[in-house]
Amino acid sequence: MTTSATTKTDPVGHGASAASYWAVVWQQLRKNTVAMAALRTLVALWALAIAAPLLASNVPLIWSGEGGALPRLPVVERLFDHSLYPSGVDQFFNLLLVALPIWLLAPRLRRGGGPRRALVLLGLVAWSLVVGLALIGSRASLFAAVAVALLGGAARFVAAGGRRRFRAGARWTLAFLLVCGLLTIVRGIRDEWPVRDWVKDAGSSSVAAVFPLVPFHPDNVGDSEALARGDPEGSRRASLSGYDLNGRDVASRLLFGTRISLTIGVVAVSIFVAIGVVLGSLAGYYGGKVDLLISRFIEVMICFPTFFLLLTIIAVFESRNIFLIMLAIGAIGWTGVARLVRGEFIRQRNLDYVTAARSLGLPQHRIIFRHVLPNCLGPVLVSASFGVASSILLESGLAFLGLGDVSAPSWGQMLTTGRSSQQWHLILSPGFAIFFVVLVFNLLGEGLRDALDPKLRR
Amino acid sequence: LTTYVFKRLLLMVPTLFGISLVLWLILLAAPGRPGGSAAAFGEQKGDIDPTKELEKDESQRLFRSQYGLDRPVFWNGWTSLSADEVGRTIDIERAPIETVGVRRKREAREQLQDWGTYAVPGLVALLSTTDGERQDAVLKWLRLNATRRVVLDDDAATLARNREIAAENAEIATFKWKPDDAAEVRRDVVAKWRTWFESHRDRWSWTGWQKVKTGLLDTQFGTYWARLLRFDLGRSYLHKRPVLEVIAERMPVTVALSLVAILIVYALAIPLGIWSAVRPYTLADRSLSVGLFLLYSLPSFFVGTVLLRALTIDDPVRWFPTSDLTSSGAADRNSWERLKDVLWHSTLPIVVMTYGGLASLSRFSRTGMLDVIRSDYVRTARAKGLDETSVVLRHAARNGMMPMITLLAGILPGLVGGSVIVEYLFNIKGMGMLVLEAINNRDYNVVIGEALIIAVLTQIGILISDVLYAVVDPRVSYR
Repeated sequence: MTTSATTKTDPVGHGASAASYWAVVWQQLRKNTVAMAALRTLVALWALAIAAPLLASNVPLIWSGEGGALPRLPVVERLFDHSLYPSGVDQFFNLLLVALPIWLLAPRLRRGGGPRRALVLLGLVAWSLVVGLALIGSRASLFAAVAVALLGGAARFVAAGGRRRFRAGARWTLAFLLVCGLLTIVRGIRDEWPVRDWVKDAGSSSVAAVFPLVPFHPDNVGDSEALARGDPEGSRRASLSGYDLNGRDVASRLLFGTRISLTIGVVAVSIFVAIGVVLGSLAGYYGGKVDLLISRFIEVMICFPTFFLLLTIIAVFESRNIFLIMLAIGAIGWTGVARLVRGEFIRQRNLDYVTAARSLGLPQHRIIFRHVLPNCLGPVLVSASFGVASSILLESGLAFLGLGDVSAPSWGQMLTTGRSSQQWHLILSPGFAIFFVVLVFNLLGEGLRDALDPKLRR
Repeated sequence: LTTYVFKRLLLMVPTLFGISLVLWLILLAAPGRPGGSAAAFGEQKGDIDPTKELEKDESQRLFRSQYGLDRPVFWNGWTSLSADEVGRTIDIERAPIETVGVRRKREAREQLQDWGTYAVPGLVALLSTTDGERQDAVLKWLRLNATRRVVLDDDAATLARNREIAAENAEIATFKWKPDDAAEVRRDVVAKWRTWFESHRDRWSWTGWQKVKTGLLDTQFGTYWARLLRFDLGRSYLHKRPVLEVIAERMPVTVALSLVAILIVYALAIPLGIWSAVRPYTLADRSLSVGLFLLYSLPSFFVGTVLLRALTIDDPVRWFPTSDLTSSGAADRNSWERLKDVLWHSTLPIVVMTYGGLASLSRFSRTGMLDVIRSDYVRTARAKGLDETSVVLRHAARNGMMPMITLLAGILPGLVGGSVIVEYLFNIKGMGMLVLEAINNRDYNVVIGEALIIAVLTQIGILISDVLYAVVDPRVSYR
């Protein structure tokens, strides 16, 4: 579908005109109110997921009057506390919480002017104030996170001066996310704090404390005393959303569940898009035996119902680790992307620009990945968006069957507890959360498809 | 057409091969021992009782021997296993954790277990050349590895053979000493082992050809393919029966439910699509599209849970039963009442199974119809003065609905995969429930066997849809 438009506007396949193709798509997308609403919701969801510890935690935001003249910010100080946030997903998001503001603000300091720059400066000052205050009482991990943030911000600031701003920006952001992910994987940023029941302390001593909007930890870490008394509502403040069967706050778990779902979607989809693009482009570009082999492989994979294969992998590996689940979904779901890319490549490989590139003697990997591939990415983007939705569904389904990662507050798992409790609020809240996120990604995919379709271009 | 079908059937063979290959790769990629060897290792304190060791994880053992996971991957050279190597491995296995580390110790232990009877010649040789604690360790492993396993089958010949094996196992179980026994006792026991070994010498003397044969066949690769070629999926640990039998018993329910679901999906999606395509972009069309899109994004397990909560537990209403496909006393009623009972029970499961497919298929049928309704021949039909119903149903719909057949291949895997959730929700004893039970009980033979069967079934479904398409659309060339 996109081929004709692409080849017209983009005869070489990269450079300035490639940006203009995506600019056209972007313009189309902007006209689609529903898709834009979905996109904005998505940004908001990411913001919620990243800011989850500031919104839901039993550790106070501000704590003053306990030695020292300056108030302390326990939530920020303990962002990398291993007992509060044991999961790698949470560590990654907390790192983003510290580093992302600088990352987003740094290049804007250079561009734009007037009142906008003042706003950016205000944001930077607020960030330094909060982080600076937190650093006073903190451990090494927060310093490391701040170092990552500042380094990244500086790099971004310098890069923002260059010319090809959009491309450079996207690439830098990818690199930054990878660095953050790597730091999480090697467990570079985490430390241990003594567990403390802040809610109780706030009631008893002469301190002033400000708690987050939802004053509950998703797993009640630090509430051990009240729980041990078998009285979840004991020393705690009223919950707006109610408790689940284990006395955990629903809203808090929902918020942290957003992190799980979004991570699942993005990681799984990145894996299967990568596999699908590579296999599909090889099959489509080379044809012949390579194509035969890869197409057979795709046919074989299609025969396995996705959910069944996922169950089999989880069973044989005997692991319920959330990252294994992401990996498994990624390893299963690539067939659709591979078929799309293969089809596009077959359509494109005999076009003039490819012949030209070939006659120029360019190496094949360059032709495949730099010239042809960018022209095939439109449909891939659409299927990636739908893929996120289906990956989230797969994981929730798995968790619903009791085969998910028990340590992660996944929405599917919440739904299972809701089902066994037969209480409406425990069924509806996670259920609608899943439905909502899936719907948003489906709407975005639909919008992208329309935006890429030259027949619908207005 | 016959040649086309025949060719497609032939093409199934490489695909079947590929399916088995993928499953084999999953087995291969799985970490050493499903069942958590680390936990088993943690229990190892002091002396191991060989019999207990054998019974410890029967399900895991069944699985590992079924798929030959306790054998080397491609080449089995254990026929020429030397006493030196066995000795070295035993030394690592019995060394304190501080010097060799948990990992090496565990690997040595697993190696010794995997060798099984292959290690017997080496162990017997070691038994007479060692002394002290090392000899104790050798004895422990000899008793473990010389014990043969009975074959799980119940025909007369196997039973007789099993009795023989059991008698021999009982005999060699007595060839032992306590660590503080006198040297004579030890010598006596060693002599007993030697005589036993000499009298069964033929088991461990391989000719060159036998070595090659064992080397190739008694491997993970060899075992897996040999069993598959014999359609042998092993035995279920949970059900104590061949896997194939268990699956065959559970299959009709799942297949029937899926077929009914497919029929309902098509029966509703086609009229819905046509209905909205003949009034495109009107309010009715738009609201239907939005509704279907919302339906499409609703997770089935959520819908199922809500339906169960709202309609089955008397709060607010109890219109449908909670679980299973039949009432408890259904067998004694007449067939009309039985049918009513089954329908009553299967309403909710079918609703949960169909609505997702319905939502996506209606969208396709609408686009398919929109494509043809603007075409010239439809305009011609109208110009001829045919009435609108005839134009839409006889001229347009016939062509517009053709691509719907290919979609069968698309929704089938989803339906089968979704059956796990539906069967779990409504407690229906079908294939999905079977695989869940199997996973929860570590009955791996069933898990793998079922994945294979499901893949084959799906493939047959795809084949049927392709053939149907070829039958309906004469433009398809039968290559």
